[in-house]
Amino acid sequence: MALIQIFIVLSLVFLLLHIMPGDPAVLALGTDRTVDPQVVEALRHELGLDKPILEQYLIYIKNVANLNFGNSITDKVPVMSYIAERIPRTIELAFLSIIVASIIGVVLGMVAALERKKAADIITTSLAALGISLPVFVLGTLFIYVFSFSLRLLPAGGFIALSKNAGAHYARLVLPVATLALPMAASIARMTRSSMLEVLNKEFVQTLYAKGLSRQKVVFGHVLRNAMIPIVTIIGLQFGNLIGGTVLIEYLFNLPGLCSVLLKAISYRDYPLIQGCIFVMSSFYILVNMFVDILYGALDPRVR
Amino acid sequence: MSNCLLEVKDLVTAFTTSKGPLRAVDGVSFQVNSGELIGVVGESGSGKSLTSLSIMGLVPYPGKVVSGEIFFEGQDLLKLEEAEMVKIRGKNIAMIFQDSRVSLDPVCRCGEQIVEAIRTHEKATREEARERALELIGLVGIPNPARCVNAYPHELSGGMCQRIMIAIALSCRPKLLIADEPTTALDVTVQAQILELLDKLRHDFDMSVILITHNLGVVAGVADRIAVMYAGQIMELGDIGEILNHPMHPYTQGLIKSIPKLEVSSKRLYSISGTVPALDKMPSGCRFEQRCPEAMALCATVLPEMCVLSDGQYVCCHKYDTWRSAYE
Repeated sequence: MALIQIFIVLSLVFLLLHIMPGDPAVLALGTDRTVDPQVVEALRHELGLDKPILEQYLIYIKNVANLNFGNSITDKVPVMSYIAERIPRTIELAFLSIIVASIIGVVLGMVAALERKKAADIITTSLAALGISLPVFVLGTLFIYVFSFSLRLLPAGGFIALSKNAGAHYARLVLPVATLALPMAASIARMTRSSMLEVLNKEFVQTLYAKGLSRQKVVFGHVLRNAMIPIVTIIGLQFGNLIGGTVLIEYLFNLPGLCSVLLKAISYRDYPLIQGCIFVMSSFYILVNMFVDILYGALDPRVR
Repeated sequence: MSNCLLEVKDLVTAFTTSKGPLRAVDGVSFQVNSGELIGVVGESGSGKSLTSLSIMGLVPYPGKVVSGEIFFEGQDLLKLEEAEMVKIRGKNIAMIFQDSRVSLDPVCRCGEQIVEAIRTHEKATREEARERALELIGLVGIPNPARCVNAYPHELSGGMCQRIMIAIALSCRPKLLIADEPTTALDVTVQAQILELLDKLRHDFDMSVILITHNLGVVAGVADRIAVMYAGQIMELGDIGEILNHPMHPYTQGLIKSIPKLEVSSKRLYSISGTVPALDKMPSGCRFEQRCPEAMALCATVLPEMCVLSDGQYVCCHKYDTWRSAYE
C-alpha cells in the first residue's frame, strides 16, 4: 500500500517536472544567451534529456527502484549524498518540534478541558487561537528580535554540527524549534480540549466514578486514552507536514536543511535533485501516516 | 426501623440556571431496608435518576444537592468529603446504568474493568482480582467466562454488557445496588433474565436494591415496595401488592390503567392526557393538578402533604386530607 502511494507520488513528480517550462541544460550552463546551442545539445544528451519521454520515465523508475537518483545537474554531486547530509538536520528539527508541541499541546488541552470555563481554560483557549492565527515567519521574526537582538540570550540562527559543539548546536535549535512548535501546540491543545470534553460527557465516565475511582484515575486511566485518536491524528498530520514544511524556518534561521536544497533545486530545474528530495519527503509522510494507522489499532480495539 | 439501610430525607436537588435554581428533585423522602428491593417508578423527567445520582454524590454539573439528608448506615452521605465518598462508591453502594453498551469503557477489556473495580477498594494482586473477576462473570450467568474476560464491550451483546456491569457492581459485595433503568435498552426476553438475575443476586449477596424504571411491569414481579415519582416528588409509596391492587393516587391509577393488556380489543390504549410540566413552570399547588381527572379547586394552589394511609403506605394527594386528620 505504502509502496503504491510512493510510486504514484513519484510518477506525478516526474510528469509535473516535464510539463514545467525551463530547460535544465540551459539553466545549468548559465542563463546568458551567448551559450553555444551545440554545447547545450551535448549536455542534454549526457543527461538523457533527448530521449523520448516514456523512455526517460522508465529509466527513472528503474533507478528509483534501486534507490539511485543520479547526480545533481548543477554540481554533479550524487543526489543521495546531498540528501544524506541534509536530512538529519531537518529530521532533528522536525522531531524536536513535534515532541515539544505534543507535550505542551496535550498538557494545556487537558488542563483546559478539566478546568472548563474557568480561568485556566479561558487563557489557554485564547492563547491557542492566537497561536494558530499567527504566521510562523511573524513568530520567528519576533523571537529573533526579542531573544537574539534585544535580550541577546540565544543565537539568531546558523548551524554547528552536533559532533563539533553540542551546546552551540542545541542553542541554535531553540528558536527554530520554538517557532515551529508553538503554533502546532496550539492546534494540538484545541484538539485535545475538544476531544477530552467529548469523552468526559460519555456515559461510561459515570460508571467509572460509580466504581469509586478518583478523578485522576478516571482522567489518566480512561478518558485520555479514549480521547487519544483525534489527538494522534493531528500530531501525525503535522509531523508529516514538517519534513517538507520547514522552508520558511530554514530560511529565517539560516539552517541548511532539506527544504532549502529543494528550493534551490527547483529554481535550477535540477530534475534528479528535486525527485530525490520529493521521494524522501513523501516517503516520510507516508511512513508517518502508516504509523498513525497502526497506532489507531493499538489505541482503540474497535478499529482493529 | 432498625434494619433501615438508607434513609433519604427531604432531598432537594436543583440545577442552577440563568432563570434561577430549577428543583428537579423536590422534597423526596423514602427509606430502603436491608435486603429489600424497592422500585422507583416514574415518567422521564420525574427526577428518579437524579435522586439516585444524588445518593451516589454524582449529580452532574450544573446540578447540585441543595438540601436534605441521605443517611447510609446512620452516616449522612451529604456531609462527607469527596475523598470519603470515593471509598463508599463502588464498595458499599454500587450503581448500574441504562445503556450498558455505552456505560463500559470501549477501549478496555471487560475483565480488566472488573479487576479495576476490585483493586480500587481491596488489596488484591492482579492475579487474585482476575480470578475473582472470572468467578463474578460466571456468577452473573455468562456462559463462557474465560472468553468474556478478554472481550471488549463492542464484541458483546447488550444483555452480556449489562451482566458485565452487574459483575462490576457486585465485585466488592455492596450493601446497596442502585439499578437505573437496567433493562430499558434490552430485548423483552433479555429484560426478564436480567430482572431475575438481579432478584436472585440480591438474595445471594444479601443486598438492597433500588430499581429505577419507567415501566411498572418491570418492578411488579420483583419489588417489595414501590415509590411512584412525578415531577420531582414522590406521589405514592408503599407495598407493591397494595399499590398495584388499590392505587390511591390518581396518577398511580392512571399509570396502571395505561399498561397495555395482551388481549384483542378495539379500545384505544389509555393514556394520561398532557405532559409533565417543565421545571421552570412548576405549579404552586399539586404538580399533577393539570393532568388530574379528579382535581379540586384546592389542588391548584396548595401543595398536598404526604399522608399516611396505613403502616408503610403513603400518598400525596388532597383527596386523602380527611384521612390524615383521622390518622393523627
